[in-house]
Amino acid sequence: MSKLTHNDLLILLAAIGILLILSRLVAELGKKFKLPIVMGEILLGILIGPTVFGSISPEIFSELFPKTGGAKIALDGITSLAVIMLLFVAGMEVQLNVVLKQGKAAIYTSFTSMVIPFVLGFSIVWYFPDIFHFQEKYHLVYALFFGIAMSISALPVITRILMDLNLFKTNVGMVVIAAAIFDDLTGWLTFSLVLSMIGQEGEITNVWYTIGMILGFGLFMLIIGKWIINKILPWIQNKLSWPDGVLSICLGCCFLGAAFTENIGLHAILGAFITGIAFGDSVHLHEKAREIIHQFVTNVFAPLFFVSLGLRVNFIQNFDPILVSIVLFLAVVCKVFGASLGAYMGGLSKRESIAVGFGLNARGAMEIILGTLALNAALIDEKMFVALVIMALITSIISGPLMKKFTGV
Amino acid sequence: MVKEIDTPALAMAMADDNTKPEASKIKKDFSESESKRLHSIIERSNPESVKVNERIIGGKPGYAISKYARDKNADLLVINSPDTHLNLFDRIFTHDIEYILADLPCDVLIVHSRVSN
Repeated sequence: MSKLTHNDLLILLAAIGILLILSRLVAELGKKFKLPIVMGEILLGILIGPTVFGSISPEIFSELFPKTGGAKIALDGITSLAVIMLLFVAGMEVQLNVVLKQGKAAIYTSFTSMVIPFVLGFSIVWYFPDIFHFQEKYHLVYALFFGIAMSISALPVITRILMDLNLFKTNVGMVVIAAAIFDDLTGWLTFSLVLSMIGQEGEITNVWYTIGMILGFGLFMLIIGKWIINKILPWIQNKLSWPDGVLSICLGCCFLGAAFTENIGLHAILGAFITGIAFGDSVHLHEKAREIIHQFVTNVFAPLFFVSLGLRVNFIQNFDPILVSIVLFLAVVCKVFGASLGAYMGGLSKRESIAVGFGLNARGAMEIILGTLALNAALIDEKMFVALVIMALITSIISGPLMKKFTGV
Repeated sequence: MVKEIDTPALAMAMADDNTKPEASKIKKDFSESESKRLHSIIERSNPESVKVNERIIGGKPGYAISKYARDKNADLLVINSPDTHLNLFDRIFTHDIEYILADLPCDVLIVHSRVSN
């Protein structure tokens, strides 16, 4: 049986240490320019990855970040944990009653900002497959994936922008938040379906079985799971050590949920996401506990994940300007049109509707996680991955200034 | 007079790049702006000689006020009715008022907001 050698351990610890410290420094620097934290982490990955550092000093790069061996497997394990935890915390913010409570504007915006980009993205791949590179057997799943990639939004980036612009508690702000919650929910559920359709050996599995399992697991967790959580959470928070108890139990349940869905043939992210919804929806989860879980995941595991993306892909070699332009153009047009139309139909003014459209256009970390999972599943190639990352970063940067312009704050 | 504030996704957005004083300031600002709104509502209603205590509480609407009433051993909780008729979705995704009605903290008076506007 193979085990982590002394050298592997040394490399692993040094790599994690360097990644954590540098990512924090870059995040602090980015903060000065009001850039999303994920942007600094991706840029850092590109700088210390094969794109820059790896091409200047390949020996030291391959010594510190080896492509094979125990340290590589261990680091991959840690980044997989990070994705699962990121989906858990994303699930914790999905509160559907927030969508319903915002009324007509939020419901229309949620629906059109999801459906229009999805249908347009799906149709482009379905009718013009030659623009993209994928295996013939993946035509349907690739089209589904691209539709989801066009329709997803990044709730944390959007909330941050709304806070900076002082729009968080306004009508526009709440419509944007509600629609982003809805887009996250439907996007991740559909993406779990897409990932689960690709079997272990790359074959296409039975879609009805997968849909049935997703619905079954979702209903079980949101009815019985939530009932159990509501019973045990007050006890955990009052009787166990604070905050250790709630942190351990929440993350423990997240991993068990992820393990369960992986075991029944669905993807682990689905289990984590739905367990997150069940915990986040509980009225008994203290706001402080929510904050601690977010901080733990966002500041320790998220940087490792986002920086490590730059370590595995060469962003210059895989930069395809035509593909990047197509992805970026489609993403912006589909989302801004879809979301603005819904907001306008829901009764917002023209300018407010366009502001909502640009707000929801921020893709941020969520799009990058989506791209990584698709790359891991060999559904997309590295060129498409680079295009999605660039699109996610650009949409996140332009979102704030354009919202500001149209809301006049 | 108690006003609830719910801040969906705020914990997530504040997790990454806020120093402690900044995070506290953001929360304080939210609380203050809601406090101002509550105060203006009270002034508009012209309470005259009645002494009104104003409170802002955080948490899930419905649940937070119910817990507050229970903690304070309130005699009567006065709330407004939902703005629209409840439907199937409100049964599936618990409506705020259900947190109060499912486990009454004390006597409850529901003022019909659709009539009183």
